[in-house]
Amino acid sequence: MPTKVPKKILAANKSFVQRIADSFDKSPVTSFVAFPQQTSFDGQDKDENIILIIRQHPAVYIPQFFLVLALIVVAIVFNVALSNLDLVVGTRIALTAGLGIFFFLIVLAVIFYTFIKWFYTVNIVTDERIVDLDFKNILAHEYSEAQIEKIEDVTHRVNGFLGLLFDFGTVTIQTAGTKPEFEFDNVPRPRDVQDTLLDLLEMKQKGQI
Amino acid sequence: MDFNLWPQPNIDFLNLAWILKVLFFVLIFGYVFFAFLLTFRVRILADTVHTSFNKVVRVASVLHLIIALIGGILALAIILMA
Repeated sequence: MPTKVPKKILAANKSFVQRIADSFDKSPVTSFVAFPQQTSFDGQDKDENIILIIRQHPAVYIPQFFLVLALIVVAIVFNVALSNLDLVVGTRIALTAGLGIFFFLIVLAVIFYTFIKWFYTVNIVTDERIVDLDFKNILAHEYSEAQIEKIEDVTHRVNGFLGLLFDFGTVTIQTAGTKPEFEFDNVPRPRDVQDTLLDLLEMKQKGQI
Repeated sequence: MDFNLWPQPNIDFLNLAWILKVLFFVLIFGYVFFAFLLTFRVRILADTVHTSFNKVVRVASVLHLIIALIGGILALAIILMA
């Protein structure tokens, strides 16, 4: 299904539509999707259009990648150590198999948990509001939202070596609501996110959306 | 004084293999519990944000739980027999 930009947004002739045009028709399993199809969220109004779905840049999870590598190395070291121990053959095979399955489960858990954390730590920008869903840990997640017209100030910062290398950063949104500050952490193309939010705010103030 | 004649404590029940097996059991139990919690968390989050990929994630979380249960029991049985 090709992306259709809502007429009211096209009519406003704002720069952000061109800036995010290369992210139309992207798979839902990416970090930056513009005008996603077949995507909605809890509490979305019928005439409300999702403009951006943003997740953390995958480079943020490079430490987890090294953790998985380290676990595989530890499993190999264990295996070698077991083969050098003076054990009965049956015991050695059983220990190798048991520990092998155990390490496989741990690696699987790290990979799957990291994917779920990435997939469900999502920021949504619509023509009505911003939504910030944070998967904090296995026992907690946080869901916050603010109306576009409550936005007071938007800043972005690109920090650190990885941010510089992969062009991702944190967008901070000051609002007049009960939660005064929203942070879209480590998102790709922070300049485009900032431009989109400020253009939407302007359109809202002019009554164009 | 000959110390060898003193009574020695019996530490058979606390040998290293036994401690490792108990530790292993706790780790496997923790992992299966973690897989349970992750499945419930995915169910809630999939109801919060709806994408076409949600169904795949839900199935993957249930598969992860099944693998955790079967793998955990298998690993535990093999280690206990060792």
